[in-house]
Amino acid sequence: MILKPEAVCAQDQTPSDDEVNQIASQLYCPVCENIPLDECTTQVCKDWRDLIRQRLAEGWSQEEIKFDFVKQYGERVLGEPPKQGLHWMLFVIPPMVIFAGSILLWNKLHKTKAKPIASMDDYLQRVEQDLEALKEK
Amino acid sequence: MSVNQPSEHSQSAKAYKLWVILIFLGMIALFGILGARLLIDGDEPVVIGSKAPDFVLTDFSGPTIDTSKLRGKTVLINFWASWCAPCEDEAEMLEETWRTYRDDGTEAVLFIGVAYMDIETASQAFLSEFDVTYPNGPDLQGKISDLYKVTSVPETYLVDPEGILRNVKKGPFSSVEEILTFIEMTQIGN
Repeated sequence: MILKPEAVCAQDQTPSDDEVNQIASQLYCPVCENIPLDECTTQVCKDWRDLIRQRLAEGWSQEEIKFDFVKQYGERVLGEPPKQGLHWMLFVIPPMVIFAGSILLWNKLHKTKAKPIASMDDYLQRVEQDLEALKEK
Repeated sequence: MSVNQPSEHSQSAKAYKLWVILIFLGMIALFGILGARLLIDGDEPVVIGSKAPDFVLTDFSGPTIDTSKLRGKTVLINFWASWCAPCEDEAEMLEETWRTYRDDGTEAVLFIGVAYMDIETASQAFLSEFDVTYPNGPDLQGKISDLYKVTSVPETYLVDPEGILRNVKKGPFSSVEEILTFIEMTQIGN
């Protein structure tokens, strides 16, 4: 018996659990909060994983599947907020705060290190004056 | 030996203060934006006696239903899902109750089903299984359930002919009589 090549391909195209879970891990079930789709054991999440498997089998890309989930269920299903609108602030502000804080800290430490102690200033000035006086002698 | 000049000190102190002010202003702006967004989104539950949020639902069969155009009728809004076991028991009772209103010819009471976080094919299979004939559609992006602050299914809301929320049921109905009593609240409210 000779198998047709397309029959073999169709069998190979069945997405594995790992392939499904790779996408499911990036999505969250809005019904059971804070549980990624790949870990959730409820019926709704099982249905959603089946839908991902079906979409993958139909040739949908990861991004297309995620986009379809957002279209159907909203941005709440995304594990990571999309980099658009106000969500940009979540990506921009923390590094900015860390950068600004580092500058402030560096500035503070640098100032503390460089700032001469008043009594030492006077003492050094006197030493310099004495040395100059010695040189002149 | 070099000693820091007073002008350098004052310059770095000014720069330091400037940074502190900028960060402080940045934080105020950030909290302001987040606060404004929270106010816009609102997190207040829908209260009985207040105006019920209007929405547009696209029926699984195609046409859209705009609840703002249903004034003059009592509207029962049921949130359900195919994966919700209690919704199965309730579906038959809701359909039976709906048929009594549908067949009386007055069209005084309308039923609307909103499929909450469901897969469309599963929703349609559920509707076929329980022979549900009143309008039903998906809650796209959870916008309708967000308006009603739905936290679980089934949940049912009753809106009177003036668009005022008159009754809320969280959880499944246990009998047709209970649904009829639930709907009679519009008469009591008025």
